[in-house]
Amino acid sequence: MLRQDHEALLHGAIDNTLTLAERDALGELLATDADARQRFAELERLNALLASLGQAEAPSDLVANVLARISPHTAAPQPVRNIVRLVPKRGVIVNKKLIFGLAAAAVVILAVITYTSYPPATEGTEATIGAAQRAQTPQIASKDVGLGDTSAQDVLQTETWDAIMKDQELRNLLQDAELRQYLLDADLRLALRNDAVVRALRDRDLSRNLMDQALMRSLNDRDLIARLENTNLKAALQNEAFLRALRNDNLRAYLARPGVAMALSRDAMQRALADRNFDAALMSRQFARELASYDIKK
Amino acid sequence: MYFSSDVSGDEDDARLVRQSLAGETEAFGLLVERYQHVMYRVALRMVGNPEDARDITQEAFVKAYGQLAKFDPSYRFFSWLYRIVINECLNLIRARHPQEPLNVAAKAAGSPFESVLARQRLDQIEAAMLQLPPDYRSVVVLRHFAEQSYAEIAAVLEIPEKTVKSRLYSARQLLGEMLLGWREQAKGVQ
Repeated sequence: MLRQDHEALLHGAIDNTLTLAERDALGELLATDADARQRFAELERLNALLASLGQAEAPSDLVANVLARISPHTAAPQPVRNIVRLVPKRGVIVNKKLIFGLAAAAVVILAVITYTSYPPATEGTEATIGAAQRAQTPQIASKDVGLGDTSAQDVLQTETWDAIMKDQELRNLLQDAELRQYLLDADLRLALRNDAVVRALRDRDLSRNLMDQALMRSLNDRDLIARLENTNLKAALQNEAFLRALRNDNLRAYLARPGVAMALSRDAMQRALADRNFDAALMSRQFARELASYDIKK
Repeated sequence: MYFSSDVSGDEDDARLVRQSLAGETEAFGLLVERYQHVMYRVALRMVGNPEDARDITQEAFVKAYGQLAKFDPSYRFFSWLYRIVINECLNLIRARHPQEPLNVAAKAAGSPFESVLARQRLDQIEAAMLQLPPDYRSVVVLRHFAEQSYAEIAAVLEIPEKTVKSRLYSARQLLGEMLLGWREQAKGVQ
C-alpha cells in the first residue's frame, strides 16, 4: 500500500489538480517507484472506464416541459427551437404578443410566489432549496480557470490524433501510463525521431539484444559498443539520449516487450513525436480517457 | 469537437437570472437549455434510471425557478442547481424501498474485465456506480461527470474539501475493487 501523500499525488494527477512542484514530485515518484507506477496506471484505467460511460444527453423535450410547468398559461409545451427563437438578441422576428404574454404571466407567478409564498413548498422543497442556498459557491475569476489541457485538445483535433487512432497497436500502447511517463522525457522523444534509432527500433533482433544482460552491460563501454554485431543498434547508440534511455533497466525492459519498439517506430508515432503539443497530451487525463474509450465509442 | 462544456460565463447566467426574475420566462428557458445536459447527466449517474433522471432534472429546474428570488447572484448559478439536483436524487434514493433492488447486475468479479463485451462493460460500470454509498457516489458524479473541482464539490455538498478527497479516494478504491479486481484496502486515504 502506498504512502498517503503518494496516493494523494496520484489522485491529484488524475484530477488534474497538481501544482508544478507536485508534478515534479509525481514524475520523480513514478520514475523511482514501481508500485506507484502500477497504482497510477490502475487509477488511469478506472478513470477511463468512468469516462467510457459517455456524455448522456437530456431528453429533447426537457426544456419545453420545464417551461410548460413554469408557464401555466402557455397553451402547450414549446419546442426548444421556438423558445430560442423568442430571444430578441438573436436578431430574428419575435412574436411580441407572445413575449408580452409570457412576461406578464411570469410576473404574476413570481409576484404570487414572492409575496404570498403560494404555491406552498412541498415537503422536502425547503430542505432542498435551503441547503442549495448555502451551497452557493463564489464565482471563479479568470485567473482560476486552468488551461492546462488546451494543448492536449489541440493534439486531439489534428491529424496526429487520427493517425494514432488508426494504428491499433500504437493506440493500445499509448493507453499505458508507464509509456506515457517515459515519453514525457523530451530527450527521449527527440531520440525516438532519430533515423538511426528508428532503424534500430525496426530491427527484428532488437528485442533479443535488449534482453541480453551481458550485451547491455556493454552500454557503459564505448569500445564494446563499437564492436556490436547489430549494426542498427550500434548506430542508434551513437545517440546519447537513446543510450541513456537503454541504461534505464525499466525502460529497456519496456522496449523489449513484443511489438513496443516496432510501434514506436511507425509513422503515426513519428508524427506524434513531431507534434509540439504531444507532451501536453501525454500529461492530459483527457487524452488518456479518449484513448481508452475509443474502442467503446466505435 | 472532442470536448465541450455545458458551463458558460457566470455573468451571462446572472443576466439571465435577472431577466427571469423580471418575468422573461424565455430567459429561464435559456438557462435550462444551457444546463439541462450536465444536470441530467448528474441525475442519471446518481439514480441510474433515465426516466427518474429526467423527472428529477425537470423537478429541479422547476424548483429552482420557484425559488429564484432567493438566489444570490453573487454566487454561481450552476452550483446552486447542482445542489438541488443532488438533493432530489438523494430524496429518491432514500425513498426507494430497501428491499427494492436496483436494476443492475451484481459485482463484476469473476470473469476478467477484458473479456466481456462493450455493452456488458458499460453495464458493469453503471452497476458499480450504483453500488457506491450515495455519499460517495455524489462526489464521484460531481467530479467525473460534472467536472467540478474539489472546492466546488465541497461547496455543493456542504462538506470540507478534505472530506471530498477522502470520499473520492475511497469511492475509487471501491470501484476499482468491483471493476478491476483491485485488492481491498482496510481504509481509504484521508
